[in-house]
Amino acid sequence: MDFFDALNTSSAALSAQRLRMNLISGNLANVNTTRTSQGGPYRRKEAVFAALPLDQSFKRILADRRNNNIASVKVARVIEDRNPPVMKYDPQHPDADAKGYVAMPNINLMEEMVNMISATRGYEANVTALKAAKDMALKALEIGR
Amino acid sequence: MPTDGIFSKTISLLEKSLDLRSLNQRVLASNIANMDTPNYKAVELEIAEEMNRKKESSPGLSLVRTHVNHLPVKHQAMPRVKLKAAKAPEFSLRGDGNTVDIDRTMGQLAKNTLLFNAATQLISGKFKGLKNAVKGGT
Repeated sequence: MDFFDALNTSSAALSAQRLRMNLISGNLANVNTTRTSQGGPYRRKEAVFAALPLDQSFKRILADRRNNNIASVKVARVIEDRNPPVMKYDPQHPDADAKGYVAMPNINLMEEMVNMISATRGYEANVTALKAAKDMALKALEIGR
Repeated sequence: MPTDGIFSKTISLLEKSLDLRSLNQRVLASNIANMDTPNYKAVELEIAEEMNRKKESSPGLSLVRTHVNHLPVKHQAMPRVKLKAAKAPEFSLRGDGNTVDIDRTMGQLAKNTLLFNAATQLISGKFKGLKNAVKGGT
């Protein structure tokens, strides 16, 4: 069923882009967070996308190995940024160390905004693809009417 | 009486076109879905090549006719179109190995939808004509 495959692919991409957007919102919201349940400042999170073959037959997987296949998308995992925190001098802060420095999350606002635009555009492109697939299926139902 | 005549070649050709367009939709959806996936290589269908291909006899199911008045059943092969790597953008500043040209893909998507709708309209017109003929123009 070609149309449903196209719809499923587009909706998987929508959910992946939405998750990415949620992670970006989380990063922006926690730009000043110095306390987390793991201890230490908040660490920037990022989604890693991976192509997911639609058809799991041997032939398709072989074709996929040669990078020549159509595929859906999924969020393979969410990684945490391992960059060291930014040390900010603020002796009044309750989380300051002995020298008066506070470990702040290493989040670059510019970078997050650019990623947010990219995620929005990706989401929009997939909405368009989804709508096109739906319109085509509806048109096909009108044949012979 | 030619039994082939009523559903003319146009309808089977349009049918093939619709099949290919819906397959192409799937390919485009895949490319758009993976626009941010590292190392994803964009693919596209060899549609023009497929539409130009001469009808080749492929082995498949066919029905035996035991009477001259039996209608012939034509073997309908599902379109087997090959995928090829799509043209990567000439200059790309992204270093993640992804070759999806999103602007080109969105254009192809619009074109694909339009041509699919055109084919459905043509095929609808064909059926309307047939219906008209069956009803005797009333």
